[in-house]
Amino acid sequence: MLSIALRRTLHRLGAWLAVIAVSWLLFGQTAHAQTTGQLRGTVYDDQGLEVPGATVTLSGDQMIGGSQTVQTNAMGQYRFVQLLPGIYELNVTPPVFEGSESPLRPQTIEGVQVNVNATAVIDVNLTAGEMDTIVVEQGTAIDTESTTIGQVLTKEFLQKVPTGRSYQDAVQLSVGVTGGANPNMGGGAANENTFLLDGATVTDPVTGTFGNNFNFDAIQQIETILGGFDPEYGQSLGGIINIVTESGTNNLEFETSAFYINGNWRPRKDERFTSDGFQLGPTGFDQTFQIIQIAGKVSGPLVQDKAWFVLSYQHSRSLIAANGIPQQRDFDGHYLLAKLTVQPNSAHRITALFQTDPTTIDNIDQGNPFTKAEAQGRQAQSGFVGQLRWQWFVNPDTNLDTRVSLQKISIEQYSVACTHNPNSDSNKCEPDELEGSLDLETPGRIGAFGAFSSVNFGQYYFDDRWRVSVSSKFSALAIEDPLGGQHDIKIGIETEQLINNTVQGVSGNVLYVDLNEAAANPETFKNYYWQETTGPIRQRNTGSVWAAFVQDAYKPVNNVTIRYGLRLDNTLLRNDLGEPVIRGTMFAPRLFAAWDPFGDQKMKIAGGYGRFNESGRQAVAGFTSISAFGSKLFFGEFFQGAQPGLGPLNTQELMFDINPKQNPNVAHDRLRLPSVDELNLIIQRQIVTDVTFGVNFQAKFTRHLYEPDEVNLIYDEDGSQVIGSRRANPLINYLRLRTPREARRNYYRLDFTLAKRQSRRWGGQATYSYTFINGTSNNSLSGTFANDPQNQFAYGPLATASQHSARVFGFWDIAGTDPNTTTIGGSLIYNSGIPLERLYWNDQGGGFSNRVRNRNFYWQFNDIWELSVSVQQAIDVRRGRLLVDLQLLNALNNRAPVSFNGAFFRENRLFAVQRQDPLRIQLGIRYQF
Amino acid sequence: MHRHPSTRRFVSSAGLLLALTSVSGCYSEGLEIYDLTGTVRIPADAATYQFTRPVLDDAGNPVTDDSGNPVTESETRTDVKLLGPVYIGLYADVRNDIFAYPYPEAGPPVAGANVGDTYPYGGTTMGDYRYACYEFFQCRMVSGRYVDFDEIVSWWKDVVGNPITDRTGAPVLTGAAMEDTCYTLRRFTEPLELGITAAIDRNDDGLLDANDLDFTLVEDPDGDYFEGEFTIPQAEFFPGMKAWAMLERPSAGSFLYDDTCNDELGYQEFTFDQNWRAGASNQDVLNRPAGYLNTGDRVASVGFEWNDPWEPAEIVLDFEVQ
Repeated sequence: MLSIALRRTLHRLGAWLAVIAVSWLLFGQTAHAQTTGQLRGTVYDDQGLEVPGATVTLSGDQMIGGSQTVQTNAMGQYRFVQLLPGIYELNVTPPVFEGSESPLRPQTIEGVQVNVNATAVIDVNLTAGEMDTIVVEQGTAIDTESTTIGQVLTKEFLQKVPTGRSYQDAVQLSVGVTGGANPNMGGGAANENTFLLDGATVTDPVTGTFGNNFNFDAIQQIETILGGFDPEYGQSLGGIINIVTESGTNNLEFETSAFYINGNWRPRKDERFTSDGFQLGPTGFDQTFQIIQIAGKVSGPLVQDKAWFVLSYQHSRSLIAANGIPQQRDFDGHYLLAKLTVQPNSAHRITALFQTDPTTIDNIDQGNPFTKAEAQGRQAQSGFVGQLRWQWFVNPDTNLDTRVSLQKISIEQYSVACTHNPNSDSNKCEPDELEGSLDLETPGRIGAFGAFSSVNFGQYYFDDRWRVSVSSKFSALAIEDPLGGQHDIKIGIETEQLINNTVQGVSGNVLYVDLNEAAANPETFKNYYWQETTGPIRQRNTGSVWAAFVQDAYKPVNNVTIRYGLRLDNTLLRNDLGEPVIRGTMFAPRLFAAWDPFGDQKMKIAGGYGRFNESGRQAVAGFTSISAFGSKLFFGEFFQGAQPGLGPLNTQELMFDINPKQNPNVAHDRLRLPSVDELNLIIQRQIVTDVTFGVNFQAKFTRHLYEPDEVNLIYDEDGSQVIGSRRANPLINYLRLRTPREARRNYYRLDFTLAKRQSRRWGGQATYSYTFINGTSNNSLSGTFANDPQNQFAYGPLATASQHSARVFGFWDIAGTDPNTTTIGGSLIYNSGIPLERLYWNDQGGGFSNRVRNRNFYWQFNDIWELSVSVQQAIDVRRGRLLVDLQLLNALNNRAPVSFNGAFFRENRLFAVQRQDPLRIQLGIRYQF
Repeated sequence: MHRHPSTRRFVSSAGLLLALTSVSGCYSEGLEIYDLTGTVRIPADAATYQFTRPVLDDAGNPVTDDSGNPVTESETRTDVKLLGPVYIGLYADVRNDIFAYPYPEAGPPVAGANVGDTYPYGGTTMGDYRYACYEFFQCRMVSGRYVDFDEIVSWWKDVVGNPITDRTGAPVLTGAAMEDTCYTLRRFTEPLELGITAAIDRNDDGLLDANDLDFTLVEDPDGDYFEGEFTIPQAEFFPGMKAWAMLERPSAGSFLYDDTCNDELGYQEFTFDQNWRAGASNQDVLNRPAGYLNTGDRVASVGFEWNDPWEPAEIVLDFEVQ
């Protein structure tokens, strides 16, 4: 039964909800997730009885609007919600009754850690005695109400543990996360994760990968979620990376830092070998590995307790030639963040956030060691996120959280502009040519198999991606039901509108392919063939995604939390003709429960079931876009006269349009959204103060992956040879996008975790995971039936997860040296390899005719070991603190291959084009006041 | 039994959740896609050849007659190794008025072709051209025809009278030598990976033998025949379509499959000083079968009309192309 106060509140909210509903219709919306945590507990007296009417005051630097004070209810309970992550102080004063003096004395609890998307529980036991304040350091190591599997990396950890200075590197410490900058999380593909910035989706809407690089020092907490999440989260088959930024405090704070990372100090490995020692050529890995980062941040109050700001800037420049490519990849990024938080009164908080990361990358071809300098391309990219958020705290138990955000990603690739610089060996301007002009006319030339390039980059690509999101969530907390249970109900709706504009073309509309008679000598180019293409193609793909959810965190008794709810996902993605390609409405029910069997916040047993739907990516819809290059093939001097052994190319009859000016791919009428069903079990136990041992089990069953089904070619019994074509042309793949149930992945992971929360000068965590994943593909496009007979071989172990992995990280503040603390940190990451002879490879990227990989046929993974250590010295200086940071990253200089290039296939080996980053020394200086 | 209203609400909600979950788990693409299966029968005479070999003395030298000419012996053999690849296609119809042999329905000839495209719905093969480690086997090795490597070596040496030779021209005398060569070149460790010998116990009798090849010989009073089962995975089913098949027989003497096999296609071997291809099927065999059929090859006189996707097809290659 709803209370009268709540009814009134709902009535007042009605008008606002109507306004918001109209906004949804007008603008459309995204995932909008938790950026705050909450704190609750019960106050007891020295007899163990609940104390109603006690005054509980919460204070902390990050509490805009000042301290909050509540009275404990009849059950002695208190609660604070929508707390920004950080460290808080709790003051509890016993009730004073008229004419009498409480025998209980007040208590202050310091060091209360509140994490994003978590509930900290602090029970207070007041004791009798004189009226003074006792100070205890207390925290909860176990969130007994959460059912998620994940990890929160706090700012303190990120600064004291050698993580690498990017959120993409930092999340590698989390259990269940493997891979690179776009990791595989919880068995999902690299493009099936959701990235959130202060709660709003910043995932690249086209590729499903991360959309922004980010100011590392502006991060307050990073949360990785692998499963078990509430219905307010969705649209992710893998995991969620939730970045929460700093909001400022009442103190004016300034921080500047400079970090220099040098990877040239390691023992050199100049030869280029395949994984098994086959020498491929004289050029070496790692001619250069240098990174410099300069950052500054200023934060503080515009108006004390009412308006705070954060300004952050980071410049990141890296020169890396890690793959034996003569031209080092030159990455030059500038990350700017501005955030304003305004809380004019206790009822309203408005937050505005702006972040952008304009970046230029030169020499973007790092996969081909024979690429000539003048053939290298440049990529200019920029992400932009702007969001406005309004939180209305109607009363302590009711709030409305509304957000509007705009995301834009721009990617431009083109030949490097010409220069008059006499010191430049390449891309010289003609005498009458303006410096900096782009060459979109000179055709590029590449060698056979892409091995030799010359003249220029040969192609251009301009891509703008827009996402406009609106979302709103209404929370009604602490609703009591007649059975004595308590409900935290949240309902919400999210919409987003997507636009993707691209222009792509081939310079001069011609691409020449040459052969070399003498290896690597461009002077011996012999014209092989060339391909004339139609002019630049322009595409506009659009999309609309919306979702609605209702969820309840139901506590039938104090030590049981049942989190259940339902999410509705709707997706409509269109191709360049405006045709709806991917559309569907899917329900995603969730039912998870957490049990604190002893009611002492020292143990948790949790688990349940949840379904998670994907919202689709525009790249998948673009798979069926109708615009495509028309091309015509011409043969050159190499083909004069019969050339044996060249198959069907050796006939002039094949000088014909090998590609129509239209994409042959279509989508089946009845696609559905891919989804994953998850079962999990979590057991956590505090074994000593602040130390927790935990076991997680997670099983995820992904179904209905996107499947590009071959509808033209007919194969022989083992799928290795084409024997016919349904459309009378055996040279063209016609693909039909499907989502059959058989396109699937099954994922199982068992974790053991030993975690020490930050206290008594040290913290750390050690995890071990055993993972098994099998199915049809590592990628989001399964390709299982692209070659019909592969069906019988389709399911096998996949490389998206290591069978064994371990993560150990931690730090120790050496005692007795405050304020000039010395901190020692370390991290160890281990991922085991997979027996390659059992690895199946039948996805879209793997080609259609390869199924069971041969023994010693190198794909991935080798064992990966990475040990890093750090020493940080704090020095008390005038008006502030100086931190000197020295880190040894990949201290053992392990160089296991992490990716391969099939173009350099030789004797069943694949050329390892990228290995683990080498041993790097990172020297950083940070000044804070 | 009386239940509290909130309990009823909870039960109702849970029921609704379960129902929604069930509904969202049921999904039909609306595509008629099946793994189609069937049986192919080939009269034994399609795998019957007469071999003529020089007679050798105990020392292995050719025996000559009084006039110095080599003495030869002849032998007629019926063996599964003499069956080339069987191409199975799914077509709109099979007609007898296009060629002198039954032939799939075809479109009109265009661009100077003597026959139009058959536009097959799908298909597969029983046996296909495989890389067998020596250039000797270019367009000669069909999968599913040999039990083991020893049988390969002895067949070509003792029956055909044309021993396998390696890249230096030296004869390959043992199955172990051939197996080692294959494993070295391909880095394989299992016959299954190479796919040229019986590697899967198809009849589950615990043995890898002749009964695990693509075809087995069936003795029948009306005439012996070879029989084998096929599967066309993930085929789109069109009711009334007809399954038709053809068999290429090797050319006498060379025992090459030089009609459907193209020696410029297939696996490319370029280890050491070698550079040759293993050979592969031409890519339009099912579209233009007439271009690959010659005298002695076999086709099905009747196309199997497929109306029920769960009913196995029966295709008999009973028509000899003249």
